[in-house]
Amino acid sequence: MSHATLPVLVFEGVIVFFILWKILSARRGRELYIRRIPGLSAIDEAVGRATEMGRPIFYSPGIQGLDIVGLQSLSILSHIIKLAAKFRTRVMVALADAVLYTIAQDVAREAYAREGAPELYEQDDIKFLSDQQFAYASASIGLMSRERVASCFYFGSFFAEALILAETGHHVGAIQVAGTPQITQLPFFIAACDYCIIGDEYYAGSAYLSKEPTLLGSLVGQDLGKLVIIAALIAGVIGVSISPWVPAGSIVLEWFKVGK
Amino acid sequence: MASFWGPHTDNPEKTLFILGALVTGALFIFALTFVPRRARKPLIAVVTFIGGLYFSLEFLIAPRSSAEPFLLSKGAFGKKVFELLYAGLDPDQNFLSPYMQGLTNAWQVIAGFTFALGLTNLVHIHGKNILQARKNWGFSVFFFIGVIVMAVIGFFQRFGAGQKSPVWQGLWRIATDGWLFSLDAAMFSLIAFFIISAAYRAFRIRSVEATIMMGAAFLVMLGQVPVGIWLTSWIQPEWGFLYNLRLENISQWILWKPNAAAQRGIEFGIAVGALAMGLRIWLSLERGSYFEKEV
Repeated sequence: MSHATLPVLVFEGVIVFFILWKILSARRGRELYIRRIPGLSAIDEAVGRATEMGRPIFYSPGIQGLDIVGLQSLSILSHIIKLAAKFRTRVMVALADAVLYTIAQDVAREAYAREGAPELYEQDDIKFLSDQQFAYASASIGLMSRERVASCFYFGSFFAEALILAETGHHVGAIQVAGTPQITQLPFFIAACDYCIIGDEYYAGSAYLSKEPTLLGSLVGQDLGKLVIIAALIAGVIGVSISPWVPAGSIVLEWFKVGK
Repeated sequence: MASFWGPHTDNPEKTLFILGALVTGALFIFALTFVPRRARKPLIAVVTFIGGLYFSLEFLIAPRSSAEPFLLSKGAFGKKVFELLYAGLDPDQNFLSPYMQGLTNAWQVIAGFTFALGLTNLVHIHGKNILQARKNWGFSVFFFIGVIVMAVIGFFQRFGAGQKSPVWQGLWRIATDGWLFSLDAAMFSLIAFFIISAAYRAFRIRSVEATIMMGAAFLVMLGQVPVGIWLTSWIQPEWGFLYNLRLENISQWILWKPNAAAQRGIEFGIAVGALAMGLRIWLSLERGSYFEKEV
């Protein structure tokens, strides 16, 4: 079992402090700025295109189960369904995890209800396909091809199936927006999709789409946390460079050493 | 059959654990349905907070190997604290660690129940396809055949006399090695073709960035294949700095310096983002979608 070392404890504590501080100050009404993220702005365009073409939207939250990535994916799904409900466009959600499936059903039902269109909710459009990776991929691309989807969204944890989904989406002529914290799959999405959000932009999704003060504050706190990491990196670089001559450099390195 | 429903010969307690988990899980979920609607959100918030607190503290509190020297150096009080909290634990455990496996198992039991809901959804969709003779309803028939055949073969090859029956074992090999793994492999092999079509589009020179990416990819690929290595093999190690210009060295430099640095940068961002979202969920500060509504 792994446990926190002192440096981890200190860094995590500082980052958590910044996040909570900024959340509180945002909730007190402080205006916060969030830069434009093209991938997330493209969601409106993709939903609009499906509406114009009168064809459905395909949404995949990946094949991982209920975790932070999955919950963030459901936040984005909720936004997309609300947007689609305004134009009465159909959204099909393909799931590979039974736990996420039950929550996705609730999220969809709630999103339609919030837009005043509970009758648009179709239980069959929230589909549990399979918990097997390639069975899921196979069922998903079959669905995309048969329904001739106009827009595809991939937000979540993806593995080898990422490229299969994204290339099929391209072949059926869909506009595609993807986002994943899975670094190994990012190149495939960048190559095959029209828009791709990378890295921590994925976690900025709900803040960007909802403009909720709590989430915006958290985002600013994250940025301060990244500044802390950058400072640590610079300290580490200086420590490595000066350690042969200056003892202080070795102290810095010793402190950062992993697995003490 | 008898060995499944009766006591397990290798581990007699196993049956009791399975049945106990099944009954407790079902009772737990049944009891939750009686919670008043108003109380559901606070209940979720409290359970999430306690769960998050447990896992955070389990990670943050020092294990025995780190705490022991510190506490024992603090005299009688430290020794008492050590005996109270750490006595009998493994070196990599703190006093919260022993409960980790039990909690993880409990979560898996609860999650296991949702699989039935997933299967119900599949039966509902495909059953409707067949009953209403929708387009491509034949695929739905295959779904039912697949589920039933795999379940029956899987069950009989695993339990009772089937464990030693060459017929059931042979059928299982056909079902897995012959059907399932072959279909998996066929899907996986699609990636080879898709990589080419995706790479073709990605490497088209449309912008400065795409040109740089294409150049870098070309050098990395060339540095990984024998012909690329042969092309610059005339550069000798004793030439000093010029030796770095061999294609395999350029390839490795691109992979392990700029590429690795960019990947780590992204990883840092992702880690901080995940921490922030985890914190919001733990403290019930998350807003939007599932977290805003009355449960």
